[in-house]
Parts: sequence; C-alpha cells; structure tokens
Amino acid sequence: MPPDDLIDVRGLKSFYRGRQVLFDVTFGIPRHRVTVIMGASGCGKTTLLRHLIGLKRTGPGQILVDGEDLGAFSEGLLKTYRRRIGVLFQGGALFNSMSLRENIAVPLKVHTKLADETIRIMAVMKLNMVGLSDFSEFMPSQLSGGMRKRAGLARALAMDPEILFVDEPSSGLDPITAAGLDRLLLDLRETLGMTVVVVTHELESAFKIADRIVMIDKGKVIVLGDPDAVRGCTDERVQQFLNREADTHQINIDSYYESLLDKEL
Amino acid sequence: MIKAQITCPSPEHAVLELDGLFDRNSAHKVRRDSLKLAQKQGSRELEIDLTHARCIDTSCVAVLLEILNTVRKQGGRLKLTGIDENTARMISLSQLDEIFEDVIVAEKK
Amino acid sequence: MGEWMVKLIGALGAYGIREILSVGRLGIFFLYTLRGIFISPGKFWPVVKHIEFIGTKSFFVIGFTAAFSGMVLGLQGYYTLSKFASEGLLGSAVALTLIRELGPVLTALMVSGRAGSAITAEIGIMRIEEQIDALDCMAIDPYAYLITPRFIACIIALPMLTAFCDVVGIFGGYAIGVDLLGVSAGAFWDGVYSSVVWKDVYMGIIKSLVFAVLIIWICTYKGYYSGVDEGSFGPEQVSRATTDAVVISSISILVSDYVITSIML
Ligand SMILES: Nc1ncnc2c1ncn2[C@@H]1O[C@H](COP(=O)(O)OP(=O)(O)OP(=O)(O)O)[C@@H](O)[C@H]1O
Ligand SMILES: [Mg+2]
Repeated sequence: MPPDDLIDVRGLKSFYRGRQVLFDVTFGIPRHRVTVIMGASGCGKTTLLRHLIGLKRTGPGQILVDGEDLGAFSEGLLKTYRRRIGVLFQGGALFNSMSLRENIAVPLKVHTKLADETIRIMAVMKLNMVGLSDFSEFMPSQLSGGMRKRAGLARALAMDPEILFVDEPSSGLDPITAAGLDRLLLDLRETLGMTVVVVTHELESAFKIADRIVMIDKGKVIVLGDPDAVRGCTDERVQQFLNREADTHQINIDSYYESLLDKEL
Repeated sequence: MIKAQITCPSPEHAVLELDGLFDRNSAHKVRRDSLKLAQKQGSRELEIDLTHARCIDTSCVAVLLEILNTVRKQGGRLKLTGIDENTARMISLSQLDEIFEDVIVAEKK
Repeated sequence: MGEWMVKLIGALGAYGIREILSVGRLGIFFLYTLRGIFISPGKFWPVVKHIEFIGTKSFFVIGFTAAFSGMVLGLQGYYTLSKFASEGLLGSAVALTLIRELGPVLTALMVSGRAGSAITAEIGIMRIEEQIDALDCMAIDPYAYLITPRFIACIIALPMLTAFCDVVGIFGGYAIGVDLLGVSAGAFWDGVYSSVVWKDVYMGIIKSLVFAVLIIWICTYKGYYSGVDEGSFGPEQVSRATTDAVVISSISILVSDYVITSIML
C-alpha cells in the first residue's frame, strides 16, 4: 500500500515582487516518511519550505494539509498547525540573547505546564541528540556555524513535532557529524513516527535517508519519486546533478553579454 | 488524561500504576504524584507500572529520569514495569539505556 | 512635460498609498500588542527584565542631563529673576520648569536615544535573522512574546525615570542657586513647596505616560518591520530602522509635548 500523503502541494507558484521563482510545483509529502527536497542553489527550496510552514502565503496553487487548504487557514488553525511542526531555518535562527538550553526551553515554557527541572532535562536530552550536550550553557555567538545549525535542529525537536522541516541540516558539517544527523532523522522517523522534510544538497545523505525525493530545477519539479526512481531517471538535468557535472555552457549567456556590452553597439 | 493509582503490596514496596496518555500535557501531573510518593518512600522501593500508560513523547523520559534522580538521592530503588517497546526506543534515542538498564525490570510484550 | 507630470503624480500617489498603509499597519500593530496582554506566556518576569534594561541603560545619562539642566536653570533663573529683585522665586521657577516641561521631555529623549534605539536594533536583528519567523513557527505570538512586555516595561519605567530626573534637576538648581549664588535655602524650598501643586505633577505624569507609549510604539514597530517593505533583510535595514526610530520618536515627543501642554494649561 502506498503511504498516504500528509501534505499535498498542488500547482504552487511563488513570486518575489513579481519575479516568479516557483512554477507549478506539485508533489506530496508522505506521512511518517522522510522526504528530501534537492536542487541547485537558488532554485527555490527555501521558498518552498516557507510556503509549507505558512510563512509565505500561497498565491496561485494550493497546499493541502490533511486535505485542508493551508492558504485558507484562519489564525487559530494556523497556530494549531504550527504546534504540530518543528522548523530548522537555513540560518539557524537561534535567539541570540539566550543560551542554547534556554533557546530549546522557549517552546516548552510557553506551551506546556512542565516543571522547570523537567524542561531542563528535556533541553539537555535534545542537545545530546545533536551532539551538543556539553554546550548547553553556551550562547549562540560562542558557537561555530555548524554547531548553531545543530542547536537549531535541537530546538526544532523540542516539542517532538509531528512534522519536522529542516533546511540544509548538514551544510558546513564534517562527514561524521553529518552521518550522525542522518542517523538521527531516521531514528526520529522510527521512534516518534515523525514526518520529516529535508532540504539538502548532499547526494549521499539524500539517498541514504529519503523515502521520497523531489528534485527542483529553476523553480520546477524535474523528478519525483523514491531514490531508485530518481537514480533511474534519464532526464539530462537530473543526471547532471547526480553525477556532479558542472554546466558546460552558460545557460544565461545572453543576459550576461547584455549586461556587459553596451546595447547601442 | 492520565490516572495514577497508588497501592502498597508490602510496607517496603509502593506501586504507582499509571493509566492513560503519558505525554507533555499530563507529564507534570505524573511528576507531582510520583515525586510526592518518592519522597514518602524514602529509601524503600518504588515501582512505576506503565502497563496501561502510553508514552508518546520525550517528556515522559525526562520525568522518569527526574523520578530516578530523586529516588537515588534518597538511597531508594526505582523499578519500572510494563514499559512498551516505543518508550524503550525513546530511552535509547536519548542515550539513556545505561542509566535505565537496571531500572527497567519487565517490558511489555 | 506631460510625461514628467504623470510620473510625478504617480510617484506622489504611490507615496501616499504607502504612507496610509503603514499608518494602518501601525494601528494594527498597537492592537496586536494590546491583545498580547491576554496571550501566554506570562508577562511578569519579562516585564521586570525589561524595566531593568530600560532603567540601567538610561539611568546615568538621565542623571547627568538632569543635574546639568537643573544647574543651568539655576544660573539663568537667578540672573533673570535678579533683574526684578525676586531671587527668592528661584525654587519655584526651577521646580515648575522641571516638573512640567524639562523632566518629562529630557527623560523621554534620553530613553528613546539609549533604550529605544537598542530595542529597535534588537528586534530588527531578530527580524533579519528569521528569529521572529521562528517564533511564529513555534506557534508563539511574537507580539505577546516580544512587544507587549517591552510596552508595559516602558510605561512603568518612564514615569519613574522622570521622577528621578525631576529630583536630580531640582537639586542641581539648588546647588547653583543656594550654594553658589547665595539664595537662602529656606526661600528656595519654600518656593518649591508653595508653587508646585498637584496639577503640575499630574501634567508631568500624563506627559511621561504619553511619551512612553510613543517611544516604545515607534521603536518596536520600526524594529519589527525592518526590511519588510524593501523585502530584503540585511544589516542596512536594521541601521536605517534604528535611526528612523530615534528621529521619529524624538519629533513626536516634542510635538506631543506642545499639544498636551496647550490642552492642559
Ligand atoms: N527575500 C527575497 N526577496 C526577493 N527574492 C528572493 C528572496 N528570497 C529568495 N529570493 C529569490 O528566490 C529564489 C529562490 O531562493 P531560495 O532561497 O528559495 O533558494 P534555495 O533553493 O533555498 O537556495 P540555497 O540552496 O542556496 O539555499 C532566488 O532566485 C532568490 O533570488
Ligand atoms: Mg535555501
């Protein structure tokens, strides 16, 4: 039986001040599975993620969560949805006036009646999951970029979310730590039944953890399916991405020349 | 919600039986009841029976750890019975198996 | 010529619409902040923390400013009054000027320059680093969490700082008038007691409350919307927001001072 989809993206188009960055993106995110969104830098992955977490309102197109249109959610419904999700932003987005432990405690303090000691233990547990339990009293400014990223992941996990969105968790990490994060995401899926959505460039890690891969190029979905289907895809762009081949020719060579050369000539 | 029932099969041994959903909304109640009981038990044995409880998030692991701390500090002994597979997995996800090793006596099948 | 006119009118129209929209947004911002009073998390400790922040940031500057303003009032007052051989009125002149005018205005200007700008920068950084988005995604109301506590704190702190400013200023005037220029101490204090009536104090308090709302409203608003209109989120937007916040809140303090005085006199 194919897994049913928790989130359904249908014909999503996205614009920044009139410039279109997503073109008719359609795919599903299966429940209790890991979905990986891949694609070249600047192709619109973060933008897509912002739509999925309700930060960027959908224009044309729909995002259905359990069959309900996210774009039409009232403020109350949006809050309910957001209590079900955890988000790691590409920049980490840690609160820089608080230690790591306090960062992770924020959602727990606001949303639960748990005692301070319980919250402290939970925060340290989450930090331990990302390998940072020794740094619980450090301020974000005292950490390296990769550590901040991992701390952001720990905070996204604070409430044991039903759906976890992570934007490039392993950028700037060594292979060992990155493999640890892959392991963690799979464990979370197994143990807590999380639905995980990962944005990544790392091919190896993507194929290791993904149940479904969505590959985006210049704002369009170019392949969608399980890892084997993606590997077997004959699309030129997909193969180029999988084989790490550089672009042989400048695709936007005309606009490049145009910006260098005087148009009158 | 969760119900907590206390029985004392012998003077040396108190059992806290949990029935219901053990999650972050009910964890503070379990914590309060069991810490109170642990305080009363002092150096004697406290058993927490999770057969009818369902742990669905990591707050239950945190609370169990807190109870374990309190009991150990008083020189008592904690026993966890009826832990389901999922809770055990959450404990190992938090890398706490070693700490809970001799505490978990019977796992639920 | 015609084309030029059309462009000008178009630009004016766009400017007008933008300003009207942002006034509307300013109003909504205020309403959301008020609503934040009733939304978790609890406000007590955050408010205490922010009172401490505003107080410690501005305490010494205000003390300094107040002391020297009081001293200058003592000097100027003495030379003016001595022309009419009424140096005995120095106490009432200094006290009335401070309590009705200078105390509230100076304090408000100092607080907006020190604490207000810091608050704008802090919230602006939270905006550009996606920390506000992160709050949203944790289903935490950013108004209730960030803005409301600062509002309450400023409304409590400013009258207290104003009172402090008044007292220091009066002692400054005393130091010059009595210790340096030889007005009798009895006459000075008698002037203070006999001329200051409840209405003057009342006016000072009303002013400082109005200034508090203006400062914190403008400063938090500017920080919260740093870069939102431009659609780009960088350090430049935060620095612009900070300057704007200080300039606009200083102007509004002086304008509203005139308005309140003309109404209440
Ligand atoms: N705030 C913004 N304003 C205007 N354009 C934007 C903004 N954010 C992103 N874009 C544009 O949208 C496109 C997609 O950006 P996005 O951040 O989604 O890329 P990405 O796939 O996440 O890239 P990366 O892998 O480098 O993070 C880019 O062309 C970018 O120029
Ligand atoms: Mg991105």
